[in-house]
Amino acid sequence: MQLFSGADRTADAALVAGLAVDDDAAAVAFVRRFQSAVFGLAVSITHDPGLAQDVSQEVFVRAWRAAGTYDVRRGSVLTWLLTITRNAAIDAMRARRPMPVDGAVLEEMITATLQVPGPEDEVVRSTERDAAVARLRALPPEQARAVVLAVIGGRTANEISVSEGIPLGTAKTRIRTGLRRVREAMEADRD
Amino acid sequence: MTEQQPHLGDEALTDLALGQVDERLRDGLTRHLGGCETCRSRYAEIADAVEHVLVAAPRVEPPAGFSQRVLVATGLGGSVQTMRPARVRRHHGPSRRTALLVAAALVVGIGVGAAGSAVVGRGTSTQQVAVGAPLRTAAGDAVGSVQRSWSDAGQVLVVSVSGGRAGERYSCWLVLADGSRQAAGTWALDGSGGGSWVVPWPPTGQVRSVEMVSDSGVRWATAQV
Repeated sequence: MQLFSGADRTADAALVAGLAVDDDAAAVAFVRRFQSAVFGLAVSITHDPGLAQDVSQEVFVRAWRAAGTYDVRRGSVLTWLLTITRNAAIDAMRARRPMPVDGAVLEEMITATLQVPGPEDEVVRSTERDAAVARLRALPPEQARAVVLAVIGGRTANEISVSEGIPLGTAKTRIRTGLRRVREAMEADRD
Repeated sequence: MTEQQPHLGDEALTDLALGQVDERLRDGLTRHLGGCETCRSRYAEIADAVEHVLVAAPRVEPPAGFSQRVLVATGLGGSVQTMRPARVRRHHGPSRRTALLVAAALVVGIGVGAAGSAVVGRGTSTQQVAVGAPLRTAAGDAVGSVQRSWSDAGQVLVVSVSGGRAGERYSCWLVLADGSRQAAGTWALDGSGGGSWVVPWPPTGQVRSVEMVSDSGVRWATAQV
């Protein structure tokens, strides 16, 4: 099994350092290492593989430009890249005409996120992702769904209230409470 | 804002962490956070949780050839080397990218001279904006820079834009010391709203400023050279 652990954080940071000095080998390794995570999040938000490709490419170009400013103390490379991806994908969605998203597509995205990785996923497994999935699965299901839709699906509270068939206030409460519990679980694990 | 003002609610902080607030509201919230340690700390906790959840996003392999396209876009991975001569690629420091762009353009001598301006790169980072004279909008936002440099053909200006709208077209005008204006070229920004161009220094006089004007004739940004 290939697990990316704390030691991999250092390796990831080294790849970014290589990217910052235009090291070709580091650039190739960097893109190949993170492309499935970046593209996966871009698809989750855009539901459009073509647009997700454009967004993902833009994310790597932005990462290349900003590689010199990356600070390993502020978070993992994966988190840094995915934050860029989320912002870029949401911007891309706002720039185009609003289109309704099929409920089945959202269900598929929620299921794929909360699914315990199987043996076939071992190549792309990471301890960081395993921990995040476990904490989401520990939430009450309705909160986990709201958090996944808001964070990974890039949906607004209003959109979540419609797709989940709940009042806006309830959608906001589920997101807020779910995120607070995730945070509490993170702190408990650090203690 | 100060500590004496009411603290922000969790709803506002969560919306901010999720990027679900409009620009005006965001500015107000950000200002408050700047002066309120309590809210800043609570915001950091929520943002931390958001970042943690992001990592759970499903992995999906992009179509074949994706990594190659990225490497071409960055000019790395051995795909595009013409703009990055080996002898300038190890340059370090805050102005590294701009220095590379300028050096690359000048070393390979692309399109600089009587033929007009030349594209030398696919955009710049915020870090680069600080190099040379800042290119600012009327609202004061820094959207690029203009830097003086030299080529075999003489003095040139390197115009770099990083904060524009993707695909937007602008005409570049040089405003000379005598008040006359000289067209330097019309360019479209790349997919990230950036781009860099080399403009020959006009033989007829000193350049006072550089203006970027939209197709509709509106002056978008100006740099005092």
